[in-house]
Amino acid sequence: MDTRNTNTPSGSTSAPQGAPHHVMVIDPNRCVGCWTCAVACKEINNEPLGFWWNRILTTGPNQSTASAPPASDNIDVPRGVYPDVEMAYLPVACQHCNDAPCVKVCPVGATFRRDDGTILVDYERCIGCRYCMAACPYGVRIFNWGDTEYAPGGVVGYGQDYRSDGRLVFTPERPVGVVEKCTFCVERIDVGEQPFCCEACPVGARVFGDLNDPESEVSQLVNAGGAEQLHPELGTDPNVYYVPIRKRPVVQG
Amino acid sequence: MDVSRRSFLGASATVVGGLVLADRMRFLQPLSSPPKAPRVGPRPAAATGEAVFRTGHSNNCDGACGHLIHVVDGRVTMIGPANWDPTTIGGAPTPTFHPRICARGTAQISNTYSPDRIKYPYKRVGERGSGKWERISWEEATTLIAEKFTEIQRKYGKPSVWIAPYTGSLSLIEGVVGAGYRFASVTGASAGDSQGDNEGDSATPAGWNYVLVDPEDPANGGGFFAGHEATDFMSAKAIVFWANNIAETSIPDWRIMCDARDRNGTQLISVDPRFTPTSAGCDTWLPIRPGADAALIDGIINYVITNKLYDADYISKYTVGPYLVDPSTKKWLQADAVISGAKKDYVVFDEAGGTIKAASDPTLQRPALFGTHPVAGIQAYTAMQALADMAAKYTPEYTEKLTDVPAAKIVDLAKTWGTVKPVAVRVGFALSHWYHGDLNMQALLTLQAITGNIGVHGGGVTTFAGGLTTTAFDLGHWWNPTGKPYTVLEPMNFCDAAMKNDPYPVRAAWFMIDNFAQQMSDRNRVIDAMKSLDFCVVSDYVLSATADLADVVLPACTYLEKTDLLSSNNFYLQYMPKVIDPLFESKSDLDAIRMVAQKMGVGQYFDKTPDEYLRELLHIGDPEADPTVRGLTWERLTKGAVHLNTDPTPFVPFFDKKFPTKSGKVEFYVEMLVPFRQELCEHQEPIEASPTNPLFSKYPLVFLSTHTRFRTHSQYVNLPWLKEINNGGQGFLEINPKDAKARGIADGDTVRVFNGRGEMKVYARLTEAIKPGVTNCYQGGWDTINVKHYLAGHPNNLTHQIANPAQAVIPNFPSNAAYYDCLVQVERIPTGA
Amino acid sequence: MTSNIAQLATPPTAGHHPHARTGFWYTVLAVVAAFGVTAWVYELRSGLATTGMRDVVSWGMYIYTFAFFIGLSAGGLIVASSAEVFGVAALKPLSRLGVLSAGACVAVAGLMIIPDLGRPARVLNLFIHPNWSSPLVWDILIISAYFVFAIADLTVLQRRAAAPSRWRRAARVLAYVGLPLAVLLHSVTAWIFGLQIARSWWNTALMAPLFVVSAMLSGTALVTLLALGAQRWTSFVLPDATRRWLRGLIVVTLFVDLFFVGCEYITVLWGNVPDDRAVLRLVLPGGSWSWTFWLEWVVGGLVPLVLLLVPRLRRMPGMLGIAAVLTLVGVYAFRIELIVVGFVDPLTQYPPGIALGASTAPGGSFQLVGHYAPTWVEYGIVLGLFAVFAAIVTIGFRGLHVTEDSPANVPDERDAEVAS
Ligand SMILES: Nc1nc2c(c(=O)[nH]1)N[C@H]1C(S)=C(S)[C@@H](COP(=O)(O)OP(=O)(O)OC[C@H]3O[C@@H](n4cnc5c(=O)[nH]c(N)nc54)[C@H](O)[C@@H]3O)O[C@H]1N2
Ligand SMILES: Nc1nc2c(c(=O)[nH]1)N[C@H]1C(S)=C(S)[C@@H](COP(=O)(O)OP(=O)(O)OC[C@H]3O[C@@H](n4cnc5c(=O)[nH]c(N)nc54)[C@H](O)[C@@H]3O)O[C@H]1N2
Ligand code: SF4
Ligand code: SF4
Ligand code: SF4
Ligand code: SF4
Ligand code: SF4
Ligand SMILES: [Mo]
Repeated sequence: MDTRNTNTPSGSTSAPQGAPHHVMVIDPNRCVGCWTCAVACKEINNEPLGFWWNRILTTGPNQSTASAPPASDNIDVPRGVYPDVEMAYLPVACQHCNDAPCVKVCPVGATFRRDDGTILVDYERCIGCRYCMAACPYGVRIFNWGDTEYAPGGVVGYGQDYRSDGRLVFTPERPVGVVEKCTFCVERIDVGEQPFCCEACPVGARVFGDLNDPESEVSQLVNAGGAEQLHPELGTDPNVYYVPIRKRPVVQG
Repeated sequence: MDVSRRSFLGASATVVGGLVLADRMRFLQPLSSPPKAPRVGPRPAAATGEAVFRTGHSNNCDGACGHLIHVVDGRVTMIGPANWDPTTIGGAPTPTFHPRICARGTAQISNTYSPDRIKYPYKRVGERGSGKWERISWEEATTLIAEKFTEIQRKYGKPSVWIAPYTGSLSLIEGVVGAGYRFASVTGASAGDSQGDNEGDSATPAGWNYVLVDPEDPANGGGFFAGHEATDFMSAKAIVFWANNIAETSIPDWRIMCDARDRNGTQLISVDPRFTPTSAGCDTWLPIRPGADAALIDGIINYVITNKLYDADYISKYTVGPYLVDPSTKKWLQADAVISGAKKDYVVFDEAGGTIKAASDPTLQRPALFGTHPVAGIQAYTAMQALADMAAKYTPEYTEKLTDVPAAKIVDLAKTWGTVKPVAVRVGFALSHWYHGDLNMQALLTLQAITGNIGVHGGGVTTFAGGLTTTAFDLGHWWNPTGKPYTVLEPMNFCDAAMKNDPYPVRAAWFMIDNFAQQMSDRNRVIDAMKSLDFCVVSDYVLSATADLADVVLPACTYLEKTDLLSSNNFYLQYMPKVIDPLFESKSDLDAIRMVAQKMGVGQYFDKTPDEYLRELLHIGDPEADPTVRGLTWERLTKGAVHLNTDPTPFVPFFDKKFPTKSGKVEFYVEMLVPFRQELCEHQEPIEASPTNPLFSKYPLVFLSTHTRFRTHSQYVNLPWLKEINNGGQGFLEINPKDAKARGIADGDTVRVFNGRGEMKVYARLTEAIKPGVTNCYQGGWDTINVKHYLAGHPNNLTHQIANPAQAVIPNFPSNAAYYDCLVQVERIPTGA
Repeated sequence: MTSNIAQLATPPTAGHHPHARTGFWYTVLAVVAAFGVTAWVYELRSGLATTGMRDVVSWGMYIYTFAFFIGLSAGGLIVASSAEVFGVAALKPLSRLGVLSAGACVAVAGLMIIPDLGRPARVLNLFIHPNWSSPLVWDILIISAYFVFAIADLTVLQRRAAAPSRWRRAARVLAYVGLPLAVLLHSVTAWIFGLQIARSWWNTALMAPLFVVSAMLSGTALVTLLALGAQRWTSFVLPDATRRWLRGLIVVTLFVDLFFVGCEYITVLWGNVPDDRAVLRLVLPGGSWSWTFWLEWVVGGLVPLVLLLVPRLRRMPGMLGIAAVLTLVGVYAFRIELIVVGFVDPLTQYPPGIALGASTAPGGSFQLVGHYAPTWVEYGIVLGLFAVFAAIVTIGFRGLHVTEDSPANVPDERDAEVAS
């Protein structure tokens, strides 16, 4: 059967009975650091300048656990000495931790975990204490300091409020003084669409789906493929996984 | 009339349309990952009044993506990737082609609504280049242009008005093969060649034509260019990215390479002096001395031949390998001259009988591939022997000396080439940016020929994956409605024409969709030439460096504000509807041309709407239309992105092994290049960037100015989204820490890059990703009155305009600027200086 | 206006002090406080973008000053309670002063959080939707409790002064409550930081003990200064025995404090975990934050120790005060080092770094290593709150007749101290 271009939204078709467990799997072996997912995220969420819910880090291979200091302040600079160099790209947005430090520390429960594993911020409850930023090991939260600037002017992207369980978890122009971050594109996944970054990634390095569905591609990548979490030693148990980086390239001696 | 590069599959009416399918088994479907390429769609819960359009992104990038545009209240609110029709016009299923877009694509909203847009027509009031403008109306502007053009044509002759070539957009009506040429043709003006590459993309196509096309055959229209359809790389067992940073310059195609790797275990190999995102994603990276590519290829050829890893069967059947060469003339031995009673034919040595025979002699059993054979008193050798002899000196050790690639790695690569099949090569236009770019291509094709990799799925040498599928379009008539072609003036000849009346005076120019004053090499000379013009018009949507030098500036539309068609780098027809009304007073280039044409008395050639032109060009509804578009309806064209009528498997040039050359075979021995001593692909040192160049002692660093994923040439340079992720919008020079140390340069220091032609100032970025002795500064950053992407100048202040005469044998692919064949010195600018 | 306040607040016992000086003091405080209010209004209107904080260093002067004040609030209470619990009679004269200072400090610390909130108007959410897993909620709770306790204790001490026999027991009970409460306050505050796995610089079990001891140190130093000040400007008398106790307390807590910090350093240096090393390198000599090291170890560490331990020096007049000031400087530097440096070097630190949430930053929109310098707004608000603190203490001092705690007619032994 020709399965391509068929109008089957991913999340909903194969979801088994019971609540889905949403995870994203990113394949750094494919990722070329093109930043499409980051700009797409910026677009759909109308992120002001200086806001990047999603960003692409330049690392060495297998850096998800090791923590050697970066090779340079600049992206695209490999580790090592010519010609024995190595480099990989690591797209990092909110990891949607199952044991999320940000949820634990939020004094008012503005940051909360949905049953599907998605971590969201209630923009109407957040008091702007930024404790969650201090607590997040991944540096993915962004505070709306108040000097926001948009380019282009005017709202782009999803463009309307979205509520989950009655709580305001997306609004085109987030209020000043509250904290924001990747929502797993809750407004899309709730209707069975892919998060926009996954849809936009030109190389198919990002897969989203239901970990409760053993047939789903994410299940395969996580269970059989051995996809790893970032900083597993911290016990945050993220819902974003990374396919292990195969050592490459064969450098010349 | 010339047709070419992106423009032509040329004879490929037969090639594309008449593709026969034998080896269908070979082709593999791309891995769909995620498994069901989910159909992308409008966002859920669409805002009230939201309209969604599908269009193609035509702006000078090989991605040729389809965009889904969301519009609310006449304003674009979102851009995402769009679907491709799963079938051809004729209804045959096509290989999986995923929706595609990149960061630049999603940033197009900010491009269209950028504060940098030119809002109104302007007339220069200050000195040329002073940045002083006065707003005028379209009426005034076009009247002025028409008057000036007419006056100058009267004074200096019709061709003294030059319509510059353009690649800023690859669309059909206005872009790379667009209406500007039609305007030149009906006004008698001269124009850049229709292949549209002012600049750097014709050397490798020329090399391709040397080996695969007979430029003198009218059916070939002076040369054409084609590549394997992107999805065909699924069939390769090894893919070599030769001077190709595909992961930055054709990002969505990288997905197919990964699919091939992940599903078929395809090896990915990068040959590049820089460790690029592509290299980082490959299994093997071979850093090479830039400009030494032919030497490395010759080294592989030598290894393949001496170790008998070549495909003897393929060579005999499909190449000129067995044909005998007359050593005195280096030309083909002629059967009618050496074999009595024979007709005009090639001559071979039949090993079966030990005799000389005409190539088409039915009694021929085993033509000798190698050897020198006495014929009519001369010692004639086979083309293959000539190749073997030429390559013999390229031992791994000798090749290592020339290329800096370790001998063992050369052997590894050669073994791969000789044992793995098929091997596909993706060649970057980077190779074209060398004086001997044609030779590099010729060498790669030679290697692919002797290893049996041409005209097969998963093989070939592809630069432009696909090629602009213009056999479908009635271009001849489009450009020359009067039947009288325009005069071609190549961009490499513009400066001489403007400043020395050579070959004839050019006194006025219209640059549209072209940032010539920045993107053309030897920029200081270009600016002098532009300043010497009597009259200069620039159409652009932003105030480019070229627009800075105009007398009249016309505000153009972006791809979202006008109707056109994109058919580039893949085999889909992407209708580009006008998605929003033109902003401010901007007008489409077609409208601008129409207004000027009317005032010059040739308005009748521009009196149709884009839709009407498209119907005409594609012969919609015409049963005689080109087979690739036969059966296309207007509805189908405008509804989605429909694939041309090709075979259901991905397009492979010369899949039928019928080569449009004189011999009908792959001519790795190129007779027409004998005068240039380039009949074989023997390595030649670069014209400038070589240690053998005396200039090397003064300017010891090779200077590359490559393409970055954060912009398309000079487009999107000032878009905040992209600037933020691209070093805050500041240009930099990549330099190896070794070279930096020798010059006392630290990361982030300000440096001066200079040579005899000019200089630029820029921040230094120390990186081990670049070979010592090589530097790189991404080209295209703005050096305009308002915006300085570099601290001063532009890489093209340093590049030259030395033309390679060999390329003249392929009329459609005359010499281009050898941007990377360039030497510089770098010095630290002390702080405070 | 200010003179009115001054008059109102000037207790009759201060009659022998010139009104003019008091008036001047209140005027200065009022001006500084007004400046703080202005800065806050400006911050409210323009958002926290007016501060030097951004997404890498997302907590700054407000939080480290908050932590500093929490620390200060300890000393007073511990000194006051110790007098009761451990029966240190020599500390009795500091009872009310200590509790007053503790109350004032904790009040100011509580206030300090408000300007740090992006949405101060939603502060009630803390009570409407408390999330009990958050150390911050516990901290708010204990701060409130501590404040209430300080008021209660002051009231009791005040009553005790009037009717010693009736209130002695209550005072004693409160003293027993006060000590653990103080320890708890500092521990919970320490856990705001110390429990965070994201910041290896903070994530140490030693954090609570460290906070407790540095709180005792800074609190004692503050009470010392207040007492010296009171002695200088009022009829309050600081007896010798009390001075010795104060000196001893400072010396001991300073030792322990430096010991703890030293332990942290040693652990990191010996362990050689790259992340931890990287942070410590910022602090150690040569690093970009080494000024905090020098302030902590030399200015606020070695120097006061020398001043207080070398017999010849410690006998010199004013040395105790100087040492106390230096100690406070050291502890404040330690707070800065702790909080800011915890942010400067984020755990997930690869180029291009963390998005700043601002486009206006000079180096672009990302930072790999955080930068932070407070703006005038932050200085303004913090100074304003210092003024509030000073005002509370002054007014409280007068209002509570703290001078009464000091034994009258104690011979001035300042220059005849005996080394023991
Ligand atoms: N993002 C982006 N994409 C683009 C464009 C763009 O501007 N931006 N432009 C489009 C156009 S018009 C073109 S022509 C293509 C160009 O596409 P490419 O040819 O892929 O791009 P380049 O950056 O020119 O060069 C590719 C690599 O060749 C290497 N190279 C340079 N000289 C040599 C050499 O002598 N030998 C070898 N082996 N390698 C060498 C460089 O280090 C570089 O990494 O990209 C198209 N796509
Ligand atoms: N040093 C150096 N120089 C190079 C290269 C290199 O690698 N190094 N690469 C060369 C190559 S391969 C190429 S192809 C050229 C490309 O050179 P150009 O074709 O000049 O490059 P672009 O910046 O893509 O586009 C030119 C202008 O067209 C405008 N434009 C885009 N769309 C439209 C439209 O629809 N209407 C109008 N009126 N204007 C439009 C853009 O705003 C831009 O100012 O550069 C060449 N120059
Ligand atoms: S990545 Fe950070 S923000 Fe996201 S859930 Fe984990 S701790 Fe919270
Ligand atoms: S900033 Fe908002 S979301 Fe974060 S901890 Fe504070 S209240 Fe919770
Ligand atoms: S899931 Fe949505 S919000 Fe999260 S990074 Fe992707 S696009 Fe952004
Ligand atoms: S879009 Fe895909 S390839 Fe590009 S940076 Fe993001 S994950 Fe990597
Ligand atoms: S810039 Fe190129 S790769 Fe990016 S969306 Fe446009 S066509 Fe596609
Ligand atoms: Mo190009």
